[in-house]
Amino acid sequence: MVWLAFVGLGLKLKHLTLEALEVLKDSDVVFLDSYTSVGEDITVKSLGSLLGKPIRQIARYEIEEENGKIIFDALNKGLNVSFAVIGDPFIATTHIVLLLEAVKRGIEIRIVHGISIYSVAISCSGLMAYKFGKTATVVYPKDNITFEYPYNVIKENKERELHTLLLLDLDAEKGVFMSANDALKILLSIEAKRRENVIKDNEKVLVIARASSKNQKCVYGPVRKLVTMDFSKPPHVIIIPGKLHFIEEEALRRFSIE
Amino acid sequence: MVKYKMVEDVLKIMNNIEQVRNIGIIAHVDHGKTTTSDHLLMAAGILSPKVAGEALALDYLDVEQRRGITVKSANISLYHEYEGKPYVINLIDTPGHVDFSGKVTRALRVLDGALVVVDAVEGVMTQTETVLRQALEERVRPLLYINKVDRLIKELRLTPQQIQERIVQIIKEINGLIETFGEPGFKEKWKLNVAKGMVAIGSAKDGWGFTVPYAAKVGIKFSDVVEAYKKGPEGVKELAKIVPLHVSLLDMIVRFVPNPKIAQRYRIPRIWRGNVSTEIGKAMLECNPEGPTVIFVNNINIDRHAGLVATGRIFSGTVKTGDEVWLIQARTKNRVLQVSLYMGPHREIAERIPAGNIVALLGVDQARAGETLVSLGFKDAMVPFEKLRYISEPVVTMAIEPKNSRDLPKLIDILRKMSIEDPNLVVKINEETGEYLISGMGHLHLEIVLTLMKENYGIEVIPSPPIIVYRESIRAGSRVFEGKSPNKHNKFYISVEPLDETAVKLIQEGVITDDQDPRVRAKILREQAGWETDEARGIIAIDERINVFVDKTRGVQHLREVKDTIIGGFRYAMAEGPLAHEPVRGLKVILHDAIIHEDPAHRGPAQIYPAVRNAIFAGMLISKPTLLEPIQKLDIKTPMEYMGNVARIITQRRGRIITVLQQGPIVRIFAEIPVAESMDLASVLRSATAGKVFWGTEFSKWSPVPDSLLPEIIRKIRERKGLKPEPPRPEDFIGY
Ligand SMILES: Nc1nc2c(ncn2[C@@H]2O[C@H](COP(=O)(O)OP(=O)(O)OP(=O)(O)O)[C@@H](O)[C@H]2O)c(=O)[nH]1
Ligand SMILES: [Mg+2]
Repeated sequence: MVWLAFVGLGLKLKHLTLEALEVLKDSDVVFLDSYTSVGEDITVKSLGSLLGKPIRQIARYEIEEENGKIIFDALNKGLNVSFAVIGDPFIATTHIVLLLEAVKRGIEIRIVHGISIYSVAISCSGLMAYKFGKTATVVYPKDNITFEYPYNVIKENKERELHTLLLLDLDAEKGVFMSANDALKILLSIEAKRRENVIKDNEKVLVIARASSKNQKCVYGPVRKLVTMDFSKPPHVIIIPGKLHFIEEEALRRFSIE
Repeated sequence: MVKYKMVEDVLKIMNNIEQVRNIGIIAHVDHGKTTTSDHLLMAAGILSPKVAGEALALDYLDVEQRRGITVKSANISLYHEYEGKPYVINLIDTPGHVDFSGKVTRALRVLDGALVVVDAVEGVMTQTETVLRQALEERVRPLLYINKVDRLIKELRLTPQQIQERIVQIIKEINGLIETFGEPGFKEKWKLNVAKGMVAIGSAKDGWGFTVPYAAKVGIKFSDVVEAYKKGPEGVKELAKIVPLHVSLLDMIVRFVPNPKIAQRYRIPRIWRGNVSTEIGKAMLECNPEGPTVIFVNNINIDRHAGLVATGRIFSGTVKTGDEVWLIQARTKNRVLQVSLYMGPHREIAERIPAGNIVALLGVDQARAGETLVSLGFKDAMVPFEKLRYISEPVVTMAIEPKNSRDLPKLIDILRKMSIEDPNLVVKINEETGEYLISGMGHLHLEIVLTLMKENYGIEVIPSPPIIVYRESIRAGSRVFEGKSPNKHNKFYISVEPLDETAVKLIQEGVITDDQDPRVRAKILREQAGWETDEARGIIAIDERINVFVDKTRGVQHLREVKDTIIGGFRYAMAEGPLAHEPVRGLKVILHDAIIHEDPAHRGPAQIYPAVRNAIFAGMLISKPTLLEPIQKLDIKTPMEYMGNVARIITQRRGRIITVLQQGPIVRIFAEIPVAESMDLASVLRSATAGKVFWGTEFSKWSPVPDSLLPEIIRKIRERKGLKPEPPRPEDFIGY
């Protein structure tokens, strides 16, 4: 019986687990989702040469509009398929729908977990994992509509003294990678409109650029300064601290610019 | 004789608002508007001394001259002395052909009076009725000029008695229309009183004309006119000296057209939506030159040298060079680089022009016809003018490509310029097929556009045969369908049903609009269209092609944040329907429930648009979908003996005769015919009647195509658009 494996790759090739390597090597076809995220050095080419076999890149429309037909076609041909995803397959992405459809069709499922930006970002920051509230994505305004959801989430989390992890708009296929600067600008523009004191100019936040990569950069400082600071290449994430424990404060101080 | 005046002298009069009149010439096609305006310009136009010696006639486009038809509206100003006082008369000559009626609609907004010209031979025709009705709706006071009376004498050889009868008949018909379409409180005063001099008769070609009081003053009777023609050209010239047309018309205009100050008192409440007791409202009511600047732009020209020229009426304030103004529709500010007034047909620079006048501006490059300009300080306080209601819709399309492919970039630029000048020309570029589509009000409209491209811009294009524009609609209601976003995380539960006739009418007439106070709108729909309260209150969007989106959901999480995106999805679906990618019309779309992903990364337009559209399309496809085709009204006058021929032509072309009236030896046939069947109607009608036919056409309505033709029409459109020939099935829009 054929199987479909959802394989988390982590954020760079060195994050690949032994289990991931084993499953990828065992599969007849490997599809790489390269639209929901980017890894430091994970490409069709680098992964292909590591495994010694061709990797097929899969596009968003093939999963969303065509409902993953290309994957099911391969399974129907009796091939074992790996669907490789940067990070973890089921955190911060939408692949659970594909899994549920495969389950419905009675296909054997394998899941390999990977290192996710969620754990890496929290781990970098030194903040306490159990003190994080909801996560939100800051997205670019579309059709002149600014989505205020992240602002609301920060507000709710702060009211409950929790930290907020903000992911930033990313569409690898369209070349959209939001910088921390743009994200902060958007939040400030919402603040200017709503004036609910959720994001203050002199409030300190943490920006993590290229988490877990060789040239990772963490900066803790006031919004007004970070807004214009150059963090270089994406991806970036932001952590808006809630109420800080004194140990947390000390942990953040490592990245302070003041 | 043309008057030579210094700009300062004219400005002095313009500053004295009681001595200004704003008037338009409106009529059925070919009844003599341009000939009349030209005559007035020659006889009473103002020129500054420095342009003396240049051509005087209205600057015709070549194509206008060759075809003898006006396609754009022209602004001129005239000088007239009445009872020893000088007056400046701003005059707009408008096109008569229905394909260019958008220009009339916009011109009327800036005018206080309208000279309705009626051809004495043809009498009152379709367009006469339409333009008069439009004038009354804008509270523009009508006056009547019965033209081409020379033809009654020379061609029809009528006796003075018969001429008089014919004239009385025309006046009666016009007064009948004023009675029918005029508002109480206005029509009583505005009905044409011949004895008081509200009607002129004459010949623009021969330059004579009079009103009853004027004729009495100089002692002229119909029999004298007939006599004059008997004497030949000399006699006619003599007549024009005794009763010069321009004096009769301009006297009439000065006497009966209200000055801007009086007119704005009653016109502003009609044409403006705001509250007249606000500062800006008061300033407009009073035509106050000290008030905030408010200018309504009715026309845009792109001058080869000067660039974009915006012409409009100052309803309040004084506009000066260097002023910064806010453009309400464009939502931006522009700086006025030059202010000018019209002297005869030319623009002359002025420093400042006060309220009540017509002005031409350079520098407001983002302005389009229909725009409102307002002082920067009032950008938030200003409420827009009433929407303009066009009587026609673009129903014919052509695909064009340049003869020389190197001209492609130029073509894009030209199309942009032309659509700025002519807001009724719709230009669409299909990125996928690389096709350039132009849509216009009718065959003639597009023909003129192609000619202008060649003559004004030197670019030749290869046009496709004209394509009729259809609408997609439904004839039954659907059950609720679930539409899923591509990522399957958002769901919308939507049903569709045909929008009721009354609601369609209310939207078409602008009684119900997208940007209206929802409570006012709900009240009107409840009371006039019998809508249920929750539906009427739930309207969240009205699409300009007359589709309504109703939100019946309760307490759906995150709905508020994506509401505009959902509306975007609705508009996206309405722009191109499922059958043949033609615009949708007459749909009521109801949103019953929705499930929306919390995080905005998973609910952007790329996810929501298709989700909303899929549910709407699935619903439409099971609701007896059909295509609507444009139908036009025909108003035909022909001698009795050709009645049979004309009737045959109409019925052969899927047309329908509505009524036939006998008017002496002439029959007047009112009919309807699909636009698709009327491409060559002009030549067919002429040859069937030995050329003895007058007719007018006008857009009538959208009507379902016969079921027997439906599949074939759909297939043809789809093939033309490069779609697979078979329309989709409902299942295609409901995935897993
Ligand atoms: N015999 C006669 N012909 C006239 C008179 N006035 C205009 N015409 C002719 O009627 C035709 C149409 O005149 P226009 O002035 O172009 O008519 P119009 O109303 O401006 O036409 P559109 O703008 O195309 O609607 C021309 O051939 C004129 O020469 C008139 O008083 N007597
Ligand atoms: Mg004309």
